[in-house]
Amino acid sequence: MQLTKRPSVKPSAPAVAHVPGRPLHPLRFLALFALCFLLLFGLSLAPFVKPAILAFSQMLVKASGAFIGLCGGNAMVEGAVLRDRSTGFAIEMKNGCNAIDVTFLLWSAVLAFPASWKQKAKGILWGTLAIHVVNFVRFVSLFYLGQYNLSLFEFAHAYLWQSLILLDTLVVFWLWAQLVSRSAPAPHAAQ
Amino acid sequence: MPLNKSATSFLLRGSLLLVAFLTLWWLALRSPMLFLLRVSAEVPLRLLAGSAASLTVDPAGDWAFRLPVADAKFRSIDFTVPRSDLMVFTFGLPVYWAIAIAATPRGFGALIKGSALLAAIEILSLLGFVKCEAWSVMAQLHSSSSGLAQWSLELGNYLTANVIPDTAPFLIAVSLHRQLRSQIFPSGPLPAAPACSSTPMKIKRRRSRR
Repeated sequence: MQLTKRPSVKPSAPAVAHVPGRPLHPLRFLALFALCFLLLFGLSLAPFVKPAILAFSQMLVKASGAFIGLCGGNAMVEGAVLRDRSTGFAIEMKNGCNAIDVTFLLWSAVLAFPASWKQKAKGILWGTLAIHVVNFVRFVSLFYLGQYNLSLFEFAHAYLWQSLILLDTLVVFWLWAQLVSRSAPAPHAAQ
Repeated sequence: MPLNKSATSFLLRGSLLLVAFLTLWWLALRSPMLFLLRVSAEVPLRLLAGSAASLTVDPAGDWAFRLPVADAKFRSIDFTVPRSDLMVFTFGLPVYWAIAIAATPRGFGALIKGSALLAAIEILSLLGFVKCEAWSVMAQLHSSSSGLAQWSLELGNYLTANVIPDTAPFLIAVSLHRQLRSQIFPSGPLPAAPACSSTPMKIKRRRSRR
């Protein structure tokens, strides 16, 4: 009988498609996600971090102003305020408009997800970039929308774009989680 | 990052539905939802803050709160919250409907459960926001707020007025809609490599018996 010569593979429990040996526990994920988010968000409101966030907002406004100038627009940058020279209309980038909170949401979800630190770093880097590209489009579009119709600006600014960016964040996380799951080695590869 | 088909089609469907539902909310549902929010928040407000607490709507549509306080100088405090600041506590429902329908078009049971849960969260979030406002008014009246107290107030205010109303529809959609959850968090068995899967082993065994 050849039965004794076959590889001794024990029937194992169904492997979970993340990191072998580290299945995703929903409660653990939720607790870690909430903890990371509260820590990051609480830190962002601390007085010693605020200047860095303001500088980041000013950098985004400067980039938006430069982009509008490149496209033939006539915008002027004053700190975190973007002003149209001809109409005088101005918008200020505050917390919430700079996508910091949404970025922290993504970071918290990525940090709470069972993956290697390298995968987490990649997720944070590319995810942050994806969010800020959408936020850049949002800020520039709001600058023009506000000059056209203030009521429409309020709707788009506070509700529509905010929800679209959150949806974008969810999908970015989804894509990253899929990538992590696919790259996980086969369950018996380590044995 | 290779684009996943189901994720991108969800993004497209979700974006279109978000535009549709939020436009409907902006044009037709805002005022009735604000009315319903006020009616449903009045009872828990009195239960939590005492029977002397009151909530009235002024001609501009802003909400005027009167809350009793346990203080040596003041018996109650009054403050007004603009209508524009209150709308954030109603816009979660259309957002949730858009995400839920984009995820599972026929999941009506989960849609109803999620809407009820979200409505409850929005009321709690409003009450938390009102509590933070009351603390903020008290801190101003006594002009005594330490750095930590100010930070806590700011954190509480931002969480209740921005973070919870914005994120709750998405978190509820992922929690209640199994199809969406299983796609984002794939927890099924991995397709095992042929060399160590159980099926070829059975075949080997049969062959050896022959």
